[in-house]
Amino acid sequence: MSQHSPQSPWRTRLVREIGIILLIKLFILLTIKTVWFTEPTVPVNGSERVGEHLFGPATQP
Amino acid sequence: MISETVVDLSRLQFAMTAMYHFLFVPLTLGLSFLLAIMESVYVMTGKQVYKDMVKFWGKLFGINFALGVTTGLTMEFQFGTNWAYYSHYVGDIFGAPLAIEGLMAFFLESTFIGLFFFGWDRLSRLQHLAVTWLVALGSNLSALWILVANGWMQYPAGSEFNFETMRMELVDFGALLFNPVAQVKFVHTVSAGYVTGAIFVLAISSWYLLKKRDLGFARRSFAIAAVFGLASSLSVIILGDESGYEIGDVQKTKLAAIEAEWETQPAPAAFTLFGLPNQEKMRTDYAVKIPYVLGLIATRSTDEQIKGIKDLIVEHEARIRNGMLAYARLEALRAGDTSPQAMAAFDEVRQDLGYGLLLKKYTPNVVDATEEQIRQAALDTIPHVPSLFWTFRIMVACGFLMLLLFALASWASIKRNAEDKPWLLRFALLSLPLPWIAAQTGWYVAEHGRQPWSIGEVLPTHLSASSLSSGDLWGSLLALLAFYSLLLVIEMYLMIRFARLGPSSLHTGRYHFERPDAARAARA
Repeated sequence: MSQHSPQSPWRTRLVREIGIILLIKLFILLTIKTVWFTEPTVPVNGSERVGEHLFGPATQP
Repeated sequence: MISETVVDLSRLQFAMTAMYHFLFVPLTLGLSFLLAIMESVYVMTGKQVYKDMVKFWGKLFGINFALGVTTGLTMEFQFGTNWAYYSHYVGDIFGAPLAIEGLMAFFLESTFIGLFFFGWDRLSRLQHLAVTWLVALGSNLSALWILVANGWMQYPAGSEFNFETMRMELVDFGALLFNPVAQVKFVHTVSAGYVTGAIFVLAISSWYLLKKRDLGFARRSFAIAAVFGLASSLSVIILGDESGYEIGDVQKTKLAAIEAEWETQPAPAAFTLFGLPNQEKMRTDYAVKIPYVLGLIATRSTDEQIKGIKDLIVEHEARIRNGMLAYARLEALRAGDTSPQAMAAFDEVRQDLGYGLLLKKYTPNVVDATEEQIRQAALDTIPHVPSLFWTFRIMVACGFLMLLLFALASWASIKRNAEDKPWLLRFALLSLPLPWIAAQTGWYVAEHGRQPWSIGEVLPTHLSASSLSSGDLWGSLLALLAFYSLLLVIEMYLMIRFARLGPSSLHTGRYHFERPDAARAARA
């Protein structure tokens, strides 16, 4: 017995193919991110470093 | 302090990669709509030749699209690699439209492009037509978000500086999206893309007509390109005027530089058609002026003045002094004095903080800048006038020349005698480089015209670059130049090869290189 209803879009081969391709794309992107993009997106002390670059070191109170 | 060499090399690399990328983008924008139009005609008429047109021009579209994506990826990474301080300082705002563009390009557009190329035999005519329109829509939506980001660089609406996080922050997404500079840039840029697509199809079709081959195919392609191009070139000129009007409102320095308006003239100001701007002496030699025209175009009034460069320098010097105060008051906040009085004092002058940062080029200690340094920083607020003056005029000249071509081509299409005018066909063929010249000069005007700012009146370019070495930059610059040149050669080779073959490359058996010699003339 089919898992999909007679009107289900998943019965169309093209829809299944597109779905699989999108899943593969998502998998590839997540793999690339996991392998090559492990550094934090916001650098450690980023705000302090940018603040110092633009406005000089913060003076003590 | 990051050296000027590093900043200049970073700028050179970004300019080079952006200009390479924009060799492909306008053709993608324009061809995608032309494909949608051609396929609409196919679906409405059922005539096979229109389907062949979609498939053939689609092939060239695909080659171009691949190069556009490849060169575009570099741009997005370059913000992080070469402009790290910029990315951190304004990333809260700048990142959002870029991220949306990435999602729309990678997921929406690429999915539908896959369906466009591989779905011919799997989708109905209407379904495939919808896919083609969605490809066109997707590519234009990508352009929208990039231009929202770029528009914000020109006029940073909807954002505020937060002294606690030491960066610019988004406070109004609607203001970012509906930034008038972004909106007018978007419509002007996509119109330029449509013109590029139209010239491309018109020029190649003209070549087929000159060679007397695939005449039925070429005539129809020529006609669609001519009419689409006429509408697009009228749009690009009108919207360019709108863009200029907007610049006159929010980027007065850029307008003054483009027009080499050294002095504030009585309204309505005269337009300098030609001349030799002399930045050192602050005058334009051998100027040919048309009375009243600049004032009428740029202000749409007869009594509004256009501020001259000399007056703008005086104004900017005052803002730099305010910026020094803002810098000093920010130091107090950073030191821990967040009393209401300290906050109010900073708020009084916070809008000129960016002007204070201009002094960082000359002294790390902005508050102690000398009069000479202040004067020099004020002069820095004016970009290079001669190059802006001439690139703008080259862009406009190309635009009007293409308008003339499309008008003549449309008329010839209506009269059905384009093939009898070899001079028109050669004019179309020789006009092929014009949209690319116009686009590159236009972008030069837009981006060099906002110097010395990476974000207008907020962040100077010289503070935006990453802490890289000159060696790093020379390495990446030369590697990218070599790689992009290779890509360009491959692209040109493929484009020329398929353009020469024409619709015979579809292997349908109906076109020039597939038919016996004796039957060619009869079948044309």
